[in-house]
Amino acid sequence: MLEVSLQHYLLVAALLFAAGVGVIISRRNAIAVLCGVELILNAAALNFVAFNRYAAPAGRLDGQVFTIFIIILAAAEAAIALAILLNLFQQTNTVDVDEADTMKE
Amino acid sequence: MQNSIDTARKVVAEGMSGLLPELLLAALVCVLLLADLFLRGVKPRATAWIAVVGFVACGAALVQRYGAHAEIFGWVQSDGPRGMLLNDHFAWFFQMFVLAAALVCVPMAMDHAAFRSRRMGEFYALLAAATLGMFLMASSTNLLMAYLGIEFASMASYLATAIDKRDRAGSEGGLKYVIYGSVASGVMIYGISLLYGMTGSMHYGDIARALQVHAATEGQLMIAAVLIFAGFAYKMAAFPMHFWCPDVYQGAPTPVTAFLSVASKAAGFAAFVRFLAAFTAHDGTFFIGFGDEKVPASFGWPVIIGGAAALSMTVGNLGALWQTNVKRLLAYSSIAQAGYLLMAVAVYAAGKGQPSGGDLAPLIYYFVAYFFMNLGAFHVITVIGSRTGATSVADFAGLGRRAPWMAFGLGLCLLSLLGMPPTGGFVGKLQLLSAAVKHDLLWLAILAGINTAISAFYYFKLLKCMYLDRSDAGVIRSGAANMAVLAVLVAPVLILGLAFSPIADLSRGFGF
Amino acid sequence: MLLTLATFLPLLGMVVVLLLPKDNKNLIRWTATAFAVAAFIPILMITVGYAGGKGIPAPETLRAEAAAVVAAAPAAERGRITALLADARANTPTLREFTPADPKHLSDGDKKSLAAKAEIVALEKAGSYDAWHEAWELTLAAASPISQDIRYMEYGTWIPALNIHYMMGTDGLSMPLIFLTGLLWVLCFVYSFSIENGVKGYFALFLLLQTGLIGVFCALDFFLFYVFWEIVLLPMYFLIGYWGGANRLYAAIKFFIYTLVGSVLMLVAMLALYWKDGFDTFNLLTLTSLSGSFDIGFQTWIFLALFMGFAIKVPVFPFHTWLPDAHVQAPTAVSVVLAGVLLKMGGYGFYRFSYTLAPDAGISEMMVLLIGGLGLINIVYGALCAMAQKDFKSLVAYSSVSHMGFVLLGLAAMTTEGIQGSVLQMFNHGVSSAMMFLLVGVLYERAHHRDLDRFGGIGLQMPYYTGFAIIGFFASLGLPGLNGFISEMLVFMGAFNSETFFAGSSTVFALPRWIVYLALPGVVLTAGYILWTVQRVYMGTAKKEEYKTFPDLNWREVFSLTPLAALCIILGVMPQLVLDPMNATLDHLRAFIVAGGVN
Repeated sequence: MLEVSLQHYLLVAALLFAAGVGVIISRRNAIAVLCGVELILNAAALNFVAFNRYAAPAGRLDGQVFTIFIIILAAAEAAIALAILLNLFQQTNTVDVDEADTMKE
Repeated sequence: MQNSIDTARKVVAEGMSGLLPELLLAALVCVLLLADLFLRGVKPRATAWIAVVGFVACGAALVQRYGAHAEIFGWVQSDGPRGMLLNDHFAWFFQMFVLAAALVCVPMAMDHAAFRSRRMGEFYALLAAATLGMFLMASSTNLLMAYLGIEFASMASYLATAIDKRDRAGSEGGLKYVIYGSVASGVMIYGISLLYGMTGSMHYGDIARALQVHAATEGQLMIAAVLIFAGFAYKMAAFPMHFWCPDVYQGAPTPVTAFLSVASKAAGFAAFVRFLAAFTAHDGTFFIGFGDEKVPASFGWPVIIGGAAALSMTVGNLGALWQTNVKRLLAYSSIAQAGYLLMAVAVYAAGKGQPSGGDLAPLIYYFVAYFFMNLGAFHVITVIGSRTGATSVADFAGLGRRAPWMAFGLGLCLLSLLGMPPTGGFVGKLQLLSAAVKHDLLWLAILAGINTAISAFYYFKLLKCMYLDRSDAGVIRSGAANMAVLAVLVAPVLILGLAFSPIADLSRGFGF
Repeated sequence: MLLTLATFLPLLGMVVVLLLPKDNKNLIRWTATAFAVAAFIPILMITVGYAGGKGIPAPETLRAEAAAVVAAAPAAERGRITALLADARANTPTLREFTPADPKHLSDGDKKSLAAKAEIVALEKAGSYDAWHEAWELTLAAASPISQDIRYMEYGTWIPALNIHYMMGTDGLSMPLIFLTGLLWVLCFVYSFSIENGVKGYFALFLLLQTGLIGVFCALDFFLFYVFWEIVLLPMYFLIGYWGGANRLYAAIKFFIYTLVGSVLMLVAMLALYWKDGFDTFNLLTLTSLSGSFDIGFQTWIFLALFMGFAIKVPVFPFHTWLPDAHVQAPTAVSVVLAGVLLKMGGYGFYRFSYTLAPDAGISEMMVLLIGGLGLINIVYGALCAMAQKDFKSLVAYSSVSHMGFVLLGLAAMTTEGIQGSVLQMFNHGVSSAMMFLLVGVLYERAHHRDLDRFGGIGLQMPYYTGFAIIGFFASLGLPGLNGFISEMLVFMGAFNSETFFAGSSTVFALPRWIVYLALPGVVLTAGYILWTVQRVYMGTAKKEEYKTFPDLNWREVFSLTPLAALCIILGVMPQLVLDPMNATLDHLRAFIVAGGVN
């Protein structure tokens, strides 16, 4: 029977992080990029929870607390991003990040 | 047990009283939002005065706090209290800096077209919120607090950038800002989680202690350090997280750009230097401990930061060469300036622990000069832009004749950004170079020198336009209030270059 | 007081000019001229006074300042400070961090150093470190062989936080150049009455330029020098960029960037010296009295960094390409001061900074060959280029490149005659090239072109003008009886003798004679292009009808040309008028360099 250890959590988190970075690099759709960011944030959250369980001094809950903050901030950030995106969409009818480059010369 | 709860209560109580400036800012945000609701149709400019009063009150509270050295807002552990915030001289300087920048942006926004109708109140509320976030960044002594401060300041800045809903450039800039910002903060937080795993804490003091006794390999630390640095670099607009800067600076309303380029950058540096101070050993390398034995790492912060500094200035200066939009040009210039400032941080890391090393005075002095020269430049661009709609460098043709004082002010600020005597920018850069030479970062000093010469091309592009290109356009009337702001911003640029002894002495008092 | 007046009167003039109404052009012109004349008065007083041996010698001033600093220290510390100052060269601030290599077997020197260290630490604890440091600086500065010829010194604290001082003084090296600056400004202002657009800006910038230049030649604090050096750049950029010819913007930015690159390297060298061994001083004289102890690697490094800064200004091949552009585009008066004085900033910098701060590097084989070789290239290459020019002004510009080569050649020779000739050449070139640019300007104002092949027969139409032209061009050619001959001959004599003179020396690398042989044809080439020019422009018959209507010189032009022509002739007959006041300075300087500084 496989014992689930810290390494396993870290491995999953690292894979999540890599997947998130991959999405951010490959997708030009702004919403998809935001999804990639969510993956990264969740990777970090998983790390925090796992480290708190295995590595932190007994009785301290820093990692768990940080995770709750991550969840809240992720929601707030997504709300702001989507609000701005919606505004842009009303002007241009696109959510492609590459289209939003009218300023370059 | 009872004793420790009492201590904890005391810590929290002291925390609340020590937090007066922050609390005032938070109150100001609420007041501004409410006032905006009720006064929007009646007296649109009233919110500006409320903002001024609020910022001045916060400033007064901050002056009261001068000289404090207290770690507040935390919990108690067996070996002493752990705070979230550390109010010391260093934090005080950067908080005052951010507050002053916010105060300067109030009249700038009054003059700007994007806020003339109804969004003024909202903007001031966002300005106050961003200022609050930057206050927390400057005094954070815990990675959680630093992260929260960065996010708080960022979110207010994202909204401020895209505040003009009809303006496509603003929306584009806002979108880029928020998307790349989320990526940067995600990367940073992943780095923080790794560091937390290695040390078991997020408090800077605990991290430093833990790194001395826990075994963490150089490679692990390196990964965490680079990831975390990326998050800070985003706020500093430094390499490798600089690419958002041109679009955001160009798209945002000019007062927002001015605030971001000065206050946001300063808060980013403050938070980073605080983190760095905890993270480095006395010789500037990483702390790496195996049991009782400390092993110095071969590769340390001076190299990472020095490399980022070198690339920032080079990328910024080369990128600026071909720009025709003034704000975009200043965006690249601000990336380059971040490079010069990072040089001071690299020197700080290199000199830490050496006799007469670990000196933050060059950084502080350059920031003081940067405050005046960059805000001065943006002030002129706002004033001219709101009267003539000027956005490109060519629109400034003949400004020397059309608005002589404004042109003179902008010219002086540009020369100062370039680093020509007798301006504050020169003395600032001299101190940066001097510190680099002193701490054997000669290659960085020479590179900064060559970069200075490169930057002359684009600063002079604007100067040339103002004074040497002829234009038949009419004279621009700037208004007495704008002239007064100009004088307040530009006179110190000269003072900082000619009679700077008291300020140079003062700047030594804001280190750790 | 006199030097400060000479330096800052033009700055005051700039402020006054800026306050005048824009439309009253004559008022602006006369006010600016009045300030140039006003600045020339203290300069004349200094020149005459210096030649007559007047003025308080710098060591006296410095010693008095040191005594004042010691006297201001607390009574308890005075004895300690005085004791440390008794051996100022050994008791440097570096001792603060002194730890002997082997604490068990202390040598006598180690013991002394440890004792001095204890004293310094005690001073630091008592809060008198700064006082001692300044007294130490001043004592060493007074002891420097360089300072013995400096007079009219002014000393004051400017920025205590960074230990920057307001320190001005003049000696035989800078005095002729200050005189030349003062004179040329008066002449240029009178000549510039014909400028019609942007009069206010023109004269204001010109006055600012004068402050920068006189400051450069007087400043003895490295930081102060650098500030003046950079101040020169800005007005020059705008003067070329606004009042220049068709391609003025390109020329202006090229001038600016070239010089900025050089000065930034100079800045790094300056900072390296500041931090060298923890001396913490920008005081040039203090640094010169310590420079002998710098190791050769550091000296070479410093020398090269400074060399870049000054070589671009001279300009030395291959950094000379900005010069023809700047000259061709610049308005006449700007060309005059550019050739007359600005180029001398480079030559002056070599003498004042490069060779005194890195004496060993200066006399090493590498540098002698570098400076001598580049001097040779400047002479020959400049003359060849001048020969190929079709534009009158660019011909004169390349002749400047060629003539400044003599300055380098004499410098590299390091013999008495070589150095005298080299410094005299700077002055003479300032006179004759200024005159040539004025002459070209006079012609351009009438013909509105500068194409050498389209002139001819000017001599018949404008006899007075041609008379001046012959004096100016022949002085530049080096005709015996005119000033250029003396300096060129001295340079060649000195350069030729270098091998003989330093035959037995193990430290000084003598300038090889083959360089001199190769440089000699430069004189023939110079004669070639100048005679050819005179022939094409002034001889023969008028190629165009309109040349016959050209009026001869007006009073302003006569006023500008006469003093220069007179100087050409007087210095050709009596060069000792300039040589005598500067001989002592140059002798001491030469002895200092050849000995590798004070050891």
